[in-house]
Amino acid sequence: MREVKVESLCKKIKGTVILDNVNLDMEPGRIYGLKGRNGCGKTMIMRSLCGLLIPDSGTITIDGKVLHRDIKFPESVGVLIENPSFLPQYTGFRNLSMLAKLTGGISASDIRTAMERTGLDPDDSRTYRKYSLGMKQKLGIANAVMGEPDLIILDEPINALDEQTVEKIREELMKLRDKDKIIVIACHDREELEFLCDTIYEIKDGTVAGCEVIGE
Amino acid sequence: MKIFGFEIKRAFANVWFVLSVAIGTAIGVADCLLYVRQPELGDDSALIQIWLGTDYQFAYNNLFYVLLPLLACLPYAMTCFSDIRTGYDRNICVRTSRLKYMSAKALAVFLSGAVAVAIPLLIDLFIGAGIYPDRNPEKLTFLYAGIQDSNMFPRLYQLHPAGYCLMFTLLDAVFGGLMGLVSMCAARWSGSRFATVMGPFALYVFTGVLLEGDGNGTWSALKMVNPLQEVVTYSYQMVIMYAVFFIVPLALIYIWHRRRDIL
Repeated sequence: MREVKVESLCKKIKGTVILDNVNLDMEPGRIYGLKGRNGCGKTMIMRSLCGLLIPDSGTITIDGKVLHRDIKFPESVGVLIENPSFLPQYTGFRNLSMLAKLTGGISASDIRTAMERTGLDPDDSRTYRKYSLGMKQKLGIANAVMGEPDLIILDEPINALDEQTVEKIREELMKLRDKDKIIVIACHDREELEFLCDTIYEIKDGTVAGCEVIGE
Repeated sequence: MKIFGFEIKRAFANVWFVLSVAIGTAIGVADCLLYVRQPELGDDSALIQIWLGTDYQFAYNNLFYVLLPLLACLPYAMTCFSDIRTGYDRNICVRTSRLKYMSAKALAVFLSGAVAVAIPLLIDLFIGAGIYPDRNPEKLTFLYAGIQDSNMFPRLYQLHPAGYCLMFTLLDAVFGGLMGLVSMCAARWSGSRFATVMGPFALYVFTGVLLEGDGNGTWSALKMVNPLQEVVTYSYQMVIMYAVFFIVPLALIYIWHRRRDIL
């Protein structure tokens, strides 16, 4: 994936402006952070990037292809938006296997690697309904990173995670960044954003209010 | 095409499908057992008398055909509601288009509903065929279901009664599948999985009683799908009813999902 470009993105829901002329440029090999108060539009921007939101106007171009015109969703994307959701009657591994079959090109060992890197045991026989909140979050992250997609979108990934797992997630994200992936994270923890991200966009009232490049 | 295999596998490899088939089969087996244990019925009964669809002597026929929409909707119809409510559809819609996802789900709901209705009827037919021969029904006797020339498929009933049973099994299976689509459509407005499954059931029973008619043609789906044909149904009425139950839910599902611009 060479670039993701968001231009003049606008969206209203029942008269309320959700996204207001959002412009973003994203390049591979960088981690982008979105910060802002609750309800400012971070999650909506993330939904737009992975094709889950159809904007009223504006374009999202991924490698020259316009979303909702040339493609319905990014060709290589991993997503964790809001609460993770899986089928409660299956184990974590089985859940990811079923989704991996839909994607194609993701092997069982890729799934095992993704689960281990997020602190989950792929051989755990417990079904998803018996998972704790933290385990569900880990599975959501594993789902997003398995197969190492070119675009990774994580909404509040470190919620409900212990310090050890947060450290593992950080390492994993940095490894993926070094493999030229585009990673977009929304997080309330400013320190975490400054530690992880190369660029932080401040979102306010559905628009990009500021951009801070870390390290410059 | 992977999404079609995904949804169909989900539809059939789940405990609700097994439960639905088990309930329907239990009703059929209970009907068979009760029939066989009636000594006064004698040994000259025919398959067409013992089959659940045409056995008017006991309440199991009514029970099965009243519960038909529930049996059809239990296996998979409520997953449309739960996928959207839990956000599981997001996992799928970043891997395949929404139209393919909804099409696959509609097909899976239809197939699982149809099969859940067909299996108990076929098992019952199979059991009945092992007990009584497929003898042509005698006319002018109260021991038979009494299909008249004004009913549907009278020649099939008279000359090939097993074929009559199979014909109605197919029609009931298709109707079961269509009830599943109605339930999937109801997911748009219902507030719970329970309401998603009960909605079509309530509609079916309510309209089934209201639209029964005066015995000269009926629009009641409840009476239409029952092989007993207690009320005369004209072929065109069945065609129109099935077409409405097919086109309207599919159209509503399509429109609803096209208008869903945020997942």
